Amino acid sequence: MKKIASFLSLLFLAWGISAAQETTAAANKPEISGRVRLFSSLYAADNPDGLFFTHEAGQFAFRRAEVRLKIAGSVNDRVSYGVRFDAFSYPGDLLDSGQFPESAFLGSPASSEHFELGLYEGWVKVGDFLISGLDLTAGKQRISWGTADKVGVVDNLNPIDFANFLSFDPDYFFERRPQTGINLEYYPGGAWKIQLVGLLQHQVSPLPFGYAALADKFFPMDDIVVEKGWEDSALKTAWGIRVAARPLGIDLGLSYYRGNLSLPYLRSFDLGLGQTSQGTFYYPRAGIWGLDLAGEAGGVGFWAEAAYVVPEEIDGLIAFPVYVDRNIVMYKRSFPLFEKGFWKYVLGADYNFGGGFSLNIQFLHGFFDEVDYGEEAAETFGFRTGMFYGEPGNYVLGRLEYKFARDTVKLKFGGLVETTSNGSAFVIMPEAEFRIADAFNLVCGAFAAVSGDRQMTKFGSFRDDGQIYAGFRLDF
Amino acid sequence: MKHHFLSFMAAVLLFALSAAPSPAQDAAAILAGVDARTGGNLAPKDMQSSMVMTISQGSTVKVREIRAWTRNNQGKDDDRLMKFVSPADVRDVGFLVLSDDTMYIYLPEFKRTRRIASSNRKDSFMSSDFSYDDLGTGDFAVSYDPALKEENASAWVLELKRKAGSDKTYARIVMTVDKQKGMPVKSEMYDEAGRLWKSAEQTYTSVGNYSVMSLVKMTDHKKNSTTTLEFKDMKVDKGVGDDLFTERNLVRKIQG
Repeated sequence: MKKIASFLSLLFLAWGISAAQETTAAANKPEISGRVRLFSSLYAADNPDGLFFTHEAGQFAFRRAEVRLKIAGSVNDRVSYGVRFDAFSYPGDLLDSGQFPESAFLGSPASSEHFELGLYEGWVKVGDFLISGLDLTAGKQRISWGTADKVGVVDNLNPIDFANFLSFDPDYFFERRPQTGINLEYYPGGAWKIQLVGLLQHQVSPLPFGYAALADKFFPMDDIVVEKGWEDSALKTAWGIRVAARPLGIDLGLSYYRGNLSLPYLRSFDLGLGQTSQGTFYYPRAGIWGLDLAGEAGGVGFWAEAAYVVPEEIDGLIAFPVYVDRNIVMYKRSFPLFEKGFWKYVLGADYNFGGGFSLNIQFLHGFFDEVDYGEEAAETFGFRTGMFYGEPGNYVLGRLEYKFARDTVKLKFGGLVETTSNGSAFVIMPEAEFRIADAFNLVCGAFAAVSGDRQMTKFGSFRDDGQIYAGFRLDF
Repeated sequence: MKHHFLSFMAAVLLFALSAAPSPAQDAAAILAGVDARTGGNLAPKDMQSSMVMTISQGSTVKVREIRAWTRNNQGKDDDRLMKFVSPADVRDVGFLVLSDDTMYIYLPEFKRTRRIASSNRKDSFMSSDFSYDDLGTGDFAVSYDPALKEENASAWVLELKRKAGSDKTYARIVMTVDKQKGMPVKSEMYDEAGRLWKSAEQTYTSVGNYSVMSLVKMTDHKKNSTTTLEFKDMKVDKGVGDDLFTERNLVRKIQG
């Protein structure tokens, strides 16, 4: 089925391109642009027994050199393309103890100079595809929905980059990964827009390095099973539709996404007869209804997003051995894993005071990893607010920015307040950015959880993992 | 309101040769003529151009390139679409203005279009010596009371005093209006304390039936810096429609 869908997609694409060739316009030379970037962070304090990280003060928390190369151009007035490669280099070795830094098979310095190359995006866009006002974009692409500033709840067509979230690299904070799919955008006139997207894949968020060991800290288990639970079928991957308009000067969007959640959730825990425990993680399917809006009043910009998440009705399971009449039997109990439906939402506003000062503030209910579990599931597995993969909590995110010296210096004071029934936590994220020359910036800053219960709040658990970072970014 | 780019370029610019004011006109009529040529019925209906902005402060010189499309909606806010060409870190960033309180920015790095609040107009334009208000020179008569300060063979010199309740940045403007073009060729802007804050000098060229601004040099005397804005490849009255000023074109990549 997937092959058929792919074939049909290519057929339509070929048709569109063929039609587009009828237009008159000279092809442009491909344009090459890119970025060279360095990011490095250090831990500010010792934390030998940390939940997420163990380290000493001054130890590197994260470091990488990054190169982006983007090639874009057009075939004619209607057909354009874009390709972006991202390369990451780790400025250290990846040697186990007792291992020499031997070269890779082809003589490359793979073990002492680690390097990864990836295709970030690669797409072809055909304007006025089949009918006037209809644009088709096919390939690996970032599709962004919603009106919120990064912490959106309806931006569900691309998975969250959870790996980079925990790197605390501000350029990747709350970022999402492009996916391969077909994106139809129809502009019937005025501010109306109708968008239909079909993905050729199930969404999977990249998880932080060492994630399995991390999961084991929360749910100690000998074996981990990851159930994908999906069929590799064109009709059962993921799709979404969004209709947008601007009634009464307010940008309004209604959307629906059908696909899987991109993070793995604990579904069952089995303490086997041999006292070998096994945890099963699962990527649940879900339908997500979305509403997003944006406008302005008295110079204050405002926005709101609401998502009603309807996860698939699946059961969680716990199994463990019990003694009955001197015999060991397995006790099993199943329960609804999720509530039948639950809300996530974000409200935000921003204002520019003049003189270089601006403020941006958002209230978020439901972090990207949080879901509403069934009551019994929450009780059995210990899911609560104030933890990763927990119940939806409340967060206030703010950023006060001051720029001066002709915008060559930007001082940002960002913060996050987590409030849940289990306590609250406060994180500060100050940053200074210096524009040394056009397109060349130096940046330094910090991430520090300054308050919050280490066990009962999500961000309080990073109390002893404060980091300072520095780096540069050059665009060309 | 006409604080828009076309207004600027147009105001900037245009001028129907047959509509030049007579020497005997009073200050209000002269200013009305300026407004008409900068964003009114004597201005181009639409305009597109490439702009090169050069910011000079001391030994530092920075260059920005922009492409702009503007439509003069007489009696309503102008539509404006801008795509940034350079420097590299803002390449393909788009800026769409549909009214004073309906503005969007497109960030290609995130493939994201965001609505932005009109309070952001308080910032300078692209870190230059222009404010957003400087780019919308039309409708002076709405915000300022004019008086004829002096007159010579080639120009009128108007003194514009800000009306009570106006939110305009400058308390007073001394504007030199070329008699032949009916357009400002020099402006001195003063702050609340009566100190000279900025001055602008405009140069015009003919495009179609209009005299349009080809160069404006803005000096910020407080910062001791200067920004010149040069207009190239100007085209006017091309019949630009509503569909240009949409999200669809905001996200579209600049060709060539």
